[in-house]
Amino acid sequence: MKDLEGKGLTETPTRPTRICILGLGNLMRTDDAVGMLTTRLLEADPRLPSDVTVIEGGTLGLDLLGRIDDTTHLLVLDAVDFGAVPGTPMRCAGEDVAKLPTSKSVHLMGLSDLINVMRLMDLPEIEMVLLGVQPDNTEWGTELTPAVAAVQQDLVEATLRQIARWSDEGSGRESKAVAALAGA
Amino acid sequence: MARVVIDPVTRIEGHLRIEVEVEGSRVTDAWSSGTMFRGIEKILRGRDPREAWIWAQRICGVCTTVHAIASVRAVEDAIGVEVPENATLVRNIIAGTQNVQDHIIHFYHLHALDWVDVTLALKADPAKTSALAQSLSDWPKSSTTYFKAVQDRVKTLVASGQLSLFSSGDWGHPAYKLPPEVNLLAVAHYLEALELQREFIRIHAVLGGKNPHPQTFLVGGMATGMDGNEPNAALNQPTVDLMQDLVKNAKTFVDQVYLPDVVAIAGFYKEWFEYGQGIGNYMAYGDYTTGSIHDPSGFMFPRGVLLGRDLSKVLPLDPGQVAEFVTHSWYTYAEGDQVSKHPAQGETSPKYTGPAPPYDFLHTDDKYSWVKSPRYDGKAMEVGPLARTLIAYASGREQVKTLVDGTLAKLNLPLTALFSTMGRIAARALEASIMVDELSVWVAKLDDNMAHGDVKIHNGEKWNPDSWPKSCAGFGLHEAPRGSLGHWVEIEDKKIANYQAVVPSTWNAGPRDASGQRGAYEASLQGTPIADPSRPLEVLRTVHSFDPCLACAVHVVSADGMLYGRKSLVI
Repeated sequence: MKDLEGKGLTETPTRPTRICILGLGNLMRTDDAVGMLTTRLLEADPRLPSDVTVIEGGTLGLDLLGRIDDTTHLLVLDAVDFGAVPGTPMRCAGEDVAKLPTSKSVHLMGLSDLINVMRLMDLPEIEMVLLGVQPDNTEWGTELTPAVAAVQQDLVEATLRQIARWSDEGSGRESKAVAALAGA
Repeated sequence: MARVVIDPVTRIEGHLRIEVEVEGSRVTDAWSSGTMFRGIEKILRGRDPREAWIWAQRICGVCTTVHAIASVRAVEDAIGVEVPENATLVRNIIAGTQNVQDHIIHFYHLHALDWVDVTLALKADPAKTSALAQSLSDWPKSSTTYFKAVQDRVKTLVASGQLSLFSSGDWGHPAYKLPPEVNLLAVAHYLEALELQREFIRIHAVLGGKNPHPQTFLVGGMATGMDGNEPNAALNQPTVDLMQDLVKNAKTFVDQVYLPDVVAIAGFYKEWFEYGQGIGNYMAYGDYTTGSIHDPSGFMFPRGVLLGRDLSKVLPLDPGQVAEFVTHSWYTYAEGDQVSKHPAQGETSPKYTGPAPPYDFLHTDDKYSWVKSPRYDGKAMEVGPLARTLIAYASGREQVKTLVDGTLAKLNLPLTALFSTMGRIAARALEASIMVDELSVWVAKLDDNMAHGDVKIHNGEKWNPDSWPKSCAGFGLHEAPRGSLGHWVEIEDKKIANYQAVVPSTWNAGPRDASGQRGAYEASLQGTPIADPSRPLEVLRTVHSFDPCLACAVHVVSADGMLYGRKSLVI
């Protein structure tokens, strides 16, 4: 684990850890809604630490700036078309999120722009992880397809694991999230 | 003769495709095609009308609030309920904030790069930029050091190879005319506008809840908690003070940055006060009152129609005269495709008859768009900030007249210059200035009501569906940032039986009607100069002046169908 590398002992963190989960997608375009619907599952999940912010970002881009700029760690949930079998999950982190081609997602144009805009504005960097699923269908509709619905719980678990890891880095061994997940 | 095609690349808010025919170096004809089918009407059928707004606000991925407002108004009209003054004020503040926010984002982040060459900003002398900025307004961020720092940040971004937001510009195009210093000034303000908008939109967090899509609308009023002494209420003394501060900052920005920038940039592009004239008919449903929404006499944006650019006569508007054609749209009507239908009797029966993709051209003689063609009293109309400004001016609104006349005087231009591409841009900035003043009045009024113990924000008389007639129908109108928006609802046995939305971009982006009248985009592109057909920047300037909430890519095809150039422009 990273905190075993000893860095945390000498470097004083300038900002307290603030974790945010951002769901993206259009609720009316079938599998495109997977990120949004998963944030709702997370909000209802008692294991989610109360200090984690959950935002339904919908299809907004720059309007999200004011909602995430005090965040230190951002976990994005979205449908990502990366040419895999429908329902295949994917994970993308750090600089790779900023570099994702815009055509790969319905919304990432806004997201990668957001990252670059924050750099231009000299705002503090946000550690970012994208958890995505290959959609099957993004036409008009309000129900996920079976292939995508089947991985929703996996997304929830992966999100909680990532949050536990971040909380752990931020507050050493006192992490509420890790304690909450101990039995999971 | 060549045909230039502008085609979509993303699905964020919808697709727009423009085909223009070019002869010599001018556009001779244009066709506008919305290539996304909006399925909202079908999704709403059978649902509880009280939750229609939750779905309706997802019609557009960017304008979160405008459809929520039109939707609750439509249902309130159908079941017959008036909302308390506080709810009207809160809705005005939410919508007015959206209006100012959208206008700023449009100018700096969606449209500026059609006029501003970022690469030239790197060549600017920061000292000269500073002198220019100080000659334009009292805005404090105007030192040489400041502009040098901005220039360095942009240099770093360009050097990293990740142009990102700036990758869409057509750098080096001969139609860019600004001196390097103006380019640098605009780029600095592009970044400052981002700072402003991320603060300003916090008003929505106060009034609409923690999520970007407001959660506090209710049929009959709002669910925003009001209590001056309650620390947890959405509306109390600290949040009212916060909103006043945010409005004040926005006002300073609009008056000292946005408006002066529009005037400065427009001064270098005066010919664009002649191009892009369009239909010359303007329509506004009107909106923003502190009284009843059923009394247009109290509207801040007056209701009315102007025909043939005649500002001497504002005609009254009757919402019953709105009707949509599908003659050139991929739908059918039971009565045949030559008739038009009022939205209350609206029908959405999709039937695609266009070419199978991939294709070079649409069948523009036949059906060629997913957008219907709305008409008012049989006539094509332009809607939006320019329409509203002209109607307010022609209605004799003093504040609007003073602002319009003063701005045109600075540019030494006549009133008729407003009928143009640059006129749309100027009208948007003038409207933001008027709206930001009014926002502060509404917040003060809310504060005053709270101080007098008036905290009623919801009228629950008709909340119970048992109190509704077995069948009823209504409509809700709103002046959204992009123009006149209408929702029509029909309720049967407490459920939605039919739902139709006629959005601003339908009025402006719609195709020809049964008699061949062009839509607003189509008409405005006639005569547009094209310096280089492989890079039709000028077409984008006029289309973008309408603030289409659409994303476009451009590729150019010669008249014989042979592809000779392709370029993506993601806006």
